[in-house]
Amino acid sequence: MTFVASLNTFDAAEAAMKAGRATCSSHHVGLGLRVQVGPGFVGYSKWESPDLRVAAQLAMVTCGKYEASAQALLSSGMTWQNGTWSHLNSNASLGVVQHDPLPCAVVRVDSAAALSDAATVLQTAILPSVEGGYVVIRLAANVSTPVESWPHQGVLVHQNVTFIGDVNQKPEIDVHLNIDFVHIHQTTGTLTLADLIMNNMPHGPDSVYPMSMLVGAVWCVNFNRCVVGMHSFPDGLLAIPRASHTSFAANYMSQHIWLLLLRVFLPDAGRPQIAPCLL
Amino acid sequence: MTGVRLIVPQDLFIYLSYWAGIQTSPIPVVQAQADWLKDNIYFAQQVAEADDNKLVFVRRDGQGTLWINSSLSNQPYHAKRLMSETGVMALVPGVDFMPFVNVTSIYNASHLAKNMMNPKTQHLVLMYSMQLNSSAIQNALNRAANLTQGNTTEGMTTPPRCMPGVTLPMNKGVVLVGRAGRTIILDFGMCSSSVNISLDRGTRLTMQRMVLTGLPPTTPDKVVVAPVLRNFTIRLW
Repeated sequence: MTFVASLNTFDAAEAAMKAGRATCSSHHVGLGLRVQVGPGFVGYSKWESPDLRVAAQLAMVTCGKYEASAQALLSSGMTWQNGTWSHLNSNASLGVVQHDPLPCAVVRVDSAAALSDAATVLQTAILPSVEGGYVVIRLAANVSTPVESWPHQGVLVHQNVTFIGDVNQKPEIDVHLNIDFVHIHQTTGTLTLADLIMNNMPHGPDSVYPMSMLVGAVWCVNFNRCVVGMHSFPDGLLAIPRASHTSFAANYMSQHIWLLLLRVFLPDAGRPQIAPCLL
Repeated sequence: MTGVRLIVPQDLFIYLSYWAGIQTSPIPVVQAQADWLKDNIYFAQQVAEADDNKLVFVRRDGQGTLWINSSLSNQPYHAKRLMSETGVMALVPGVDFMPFVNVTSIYNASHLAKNMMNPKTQHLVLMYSMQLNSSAIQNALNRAANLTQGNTTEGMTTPPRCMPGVTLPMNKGVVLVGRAGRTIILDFGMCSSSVNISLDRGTRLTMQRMVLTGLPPTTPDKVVVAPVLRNFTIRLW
């Protein structure tokens, strides 16, 4: 099961579809769906789509699109400019990768409260569902992560997660000195920050004093992968519910349960736009 | 991190700017003073530019983090900066730019006793208040002796809190410092004639930024002090 959110407007994507610049196809592979995306397609999904089936299909396309994007972002030299991924040393945008997409999720956050609001959803639904895949949180505005609204124990990351802003208008994440902002699994988790301003990052724990005063990864002594100001956690500490991967039906049902929950909790404009797709 | 700006407290910005400046010095002897950064914190660090408000790195790699075209800044941006100082320039009073590696953080009394005996540690920062009684010293002595003899410390019993004749040997200078921004109390447990710090000739024990308490109110046998003053003397001689 994969959740996807739009990175582009409904109108732009619709116009691209109507103009014939976007094509897509999909077919079943095992329990999931394989997505192939034509070149130049602007992937999107929109929460308010009147046709859930169409929305899901387009969301799958978005998965394929941004699986490639997220993967590319993890390599050096890739940047997000003017709504597309580009290489720092060329003007060419990233081509769409024609292979089986890994589980992915892309969440757009475009208001100050949205990231905090979405954090619990990220933690309990999205992150457990994309193990081995990619999660991209695209920030279009300054966001605040007050402790009281952030998940207890922070967001536990055991896959490839990217927080990305904008190269021209770098949005700011205010971490509020929250020591439980993000915890990264020491062997499976990787967190990438791109085109952002990070403010009010907390100190590290006393156990690594005085290096804990360095706001710059000193918390991650002896761990494989960590990112500035964030904890790394070993195996055995992960206690978040996992989505069922036992059957297509289970995935399908849990997806629609989350559809309802998301509609209840994130109904307003400015909230994260999150819609599911099936893989 | 790619294209990320980190807003940091003012003292941390000054501290890191200072060491980045040392590290990028064209004079090899000066540059070598920052080798501790390469050896302990970053495998590689390339500074692109620096001024009073920003420190830009082309690439910085170490401690599990890879920075690419990212920077440090002391300028608050959208959100108010909640922490103005980290205390990084007050690790040891009077030494603004003390390298991290020259400081050992101390978490309990046995840890303190062990490091006071360790010839390689000089600046010890007490993280919390603690009681340096004969029990803690004896524990450290026992562990050191067992490790020297290749034995383990399993099965060792905890010595009594106050025990006569326990001496903490010190053969090098030590600076004990309380953690900046906190009230750190070093308690000697009122163990009369039990806590003795034997200093070799020429070594010095310096204590800074802490409150001493529980000092035994007796004087060394060989020192003649008027009886009325006995309870006002301490065994730190």
